[in-house]
Amino acid sequence: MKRNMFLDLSEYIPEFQFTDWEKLTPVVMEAGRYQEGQYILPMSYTTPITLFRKSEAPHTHSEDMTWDDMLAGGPALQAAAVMDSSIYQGCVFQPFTDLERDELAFSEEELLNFVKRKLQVYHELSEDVPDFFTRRLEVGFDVDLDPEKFDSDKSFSMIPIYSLQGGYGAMVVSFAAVNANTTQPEAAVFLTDYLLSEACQSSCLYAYATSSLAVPTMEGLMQEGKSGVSFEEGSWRMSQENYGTFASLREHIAWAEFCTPLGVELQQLFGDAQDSSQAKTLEELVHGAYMRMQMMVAES
Amino acid sequence: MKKSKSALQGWLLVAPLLIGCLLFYAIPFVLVLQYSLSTGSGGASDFIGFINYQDVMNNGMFTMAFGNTMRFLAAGLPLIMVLAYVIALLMQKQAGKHKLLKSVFLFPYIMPVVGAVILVELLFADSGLVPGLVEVLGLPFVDWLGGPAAFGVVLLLYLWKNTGYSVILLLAGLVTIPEEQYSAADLDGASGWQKFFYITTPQMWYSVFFAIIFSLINAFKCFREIFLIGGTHPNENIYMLQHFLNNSFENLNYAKLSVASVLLLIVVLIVFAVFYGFVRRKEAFRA
Repeated sequence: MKRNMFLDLSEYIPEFQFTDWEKLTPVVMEAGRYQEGQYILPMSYTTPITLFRKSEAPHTHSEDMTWDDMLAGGPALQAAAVMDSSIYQGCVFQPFTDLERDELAFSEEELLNFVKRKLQVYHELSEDVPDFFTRRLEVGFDVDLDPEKFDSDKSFSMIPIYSLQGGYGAMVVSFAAVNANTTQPEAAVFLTDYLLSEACQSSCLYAYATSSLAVPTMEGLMQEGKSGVSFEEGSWRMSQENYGTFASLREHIAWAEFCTPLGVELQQLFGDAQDSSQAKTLEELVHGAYMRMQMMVAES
Repeated sequence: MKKSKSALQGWLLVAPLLIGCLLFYAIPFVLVLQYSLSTGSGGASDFIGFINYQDVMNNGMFTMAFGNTMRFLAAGLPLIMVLAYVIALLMQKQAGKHKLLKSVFLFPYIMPVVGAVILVELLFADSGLVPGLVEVLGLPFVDWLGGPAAFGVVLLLYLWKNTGYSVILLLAGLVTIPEEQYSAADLDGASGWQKFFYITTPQMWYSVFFAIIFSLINAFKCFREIFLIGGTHPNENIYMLQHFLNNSFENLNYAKLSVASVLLLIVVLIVFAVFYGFVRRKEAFRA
């Protein structure tokens, strides 16, 4: 957006035929705005969550809770804070990058402190932690859960990873945009409009590429009585209770960022930090990962 | 009439070269300048002045890459010239008798890039010969390819691969110096150093100049080996300007790419102009 690569869609959005703009999650759509213009239309998003039985670990989503609060909380919150090993664990840092200066928005020391504390809590985690699964928020996230642990009670708590500053965010996994140099803007916008329609957001056309990674931006598709979202041989929906929990999770998303390869570096860093055969010290590993991430942001 | 016909024929003969230079150098250069002063591309391009230059020069990773490249050149060029000069001087008398000796020096230069990288990996990778030797000697572990020592390894690779080429260039200049001058100096009782400073050096400036130019070009070509050893984002000590350029190109960031290219061109032109002026003065004095 900053490099003027995409077309400003603001004047086209009121003319959309297929997309119900009111049903698109506002905070996620905000990620595609830049200087009063809507340049990118997020199609799907996710956030790392840890699932517990609601009866064992109830949780009220908040925009004020911090990662430190999670570590100071009970075993369930601690597990939710440190057990995720996905590429989205960097959502603890908010913001992750300073796009105006093309550099990371946190220091190497902050990264080192975070890694150290995460590893410490990870290794000292109490055995009293209730049964849990770490997941991405994605279509079909409850399908392959261990039946011994969750089959009898499929009402979940969905605990996200809160940031150091407070609140939690979403990661945009796929999006639609129009090249600023297009010679056929109307045709391009027509296709973009369809990609955010209910038909596409719930169909194989969208789900083929993204259903194993995220949930659609359009609200209301995944609850009982609705069309559901294409998944494997059929359509996937959540129970009314779980959809209510999901809606609460969605309602309290404080910001949205785009998913980038930087998360892979963080994931690799934690893997290396836990590798007992690693010859490098933790400080060297963090330094190497931090420098590589800085390089990637500087070149973007 | 004859003159204009002759001129026209001349223009026609150089036309293919001129067209090629225009298409593949001049026009792209103008486009690079345009990209460096604007945001976006094609019809969506907006002129923004020197904002891109400001952004890039304030970027810590760009300055680190630029610094590493200048550090590599500052260390590599003098070293390769000294090494090549010494070898060329030693070979000066033997060059005519042992032609195979000259060829042997070119073997590392003609070795494929992948072959050189495999050799480096065999020697310096974690399971390589050198770390094994270091472990046997009881010395602390050194990450030769992923740590600060990587700069030294890359420099060594550059010297090993390209010294032979510079030897050949300098040797070509040395063999053109008339033997009678050295004989006359011997008769006058000149020492080896005196012959080197007063006979050899004044007649070698242009050869040295060309050897430096080609060594500079080969230094930039060394990126291929560094890329294969360290990947797209190597250790910070061997993160070169070419990495920044290459990765910016992959991210379609033509503005940053263009700015970095222009800044590098300015530095290289300044160095080239300073040294060329020096050589011209030396040659003019000799003439």
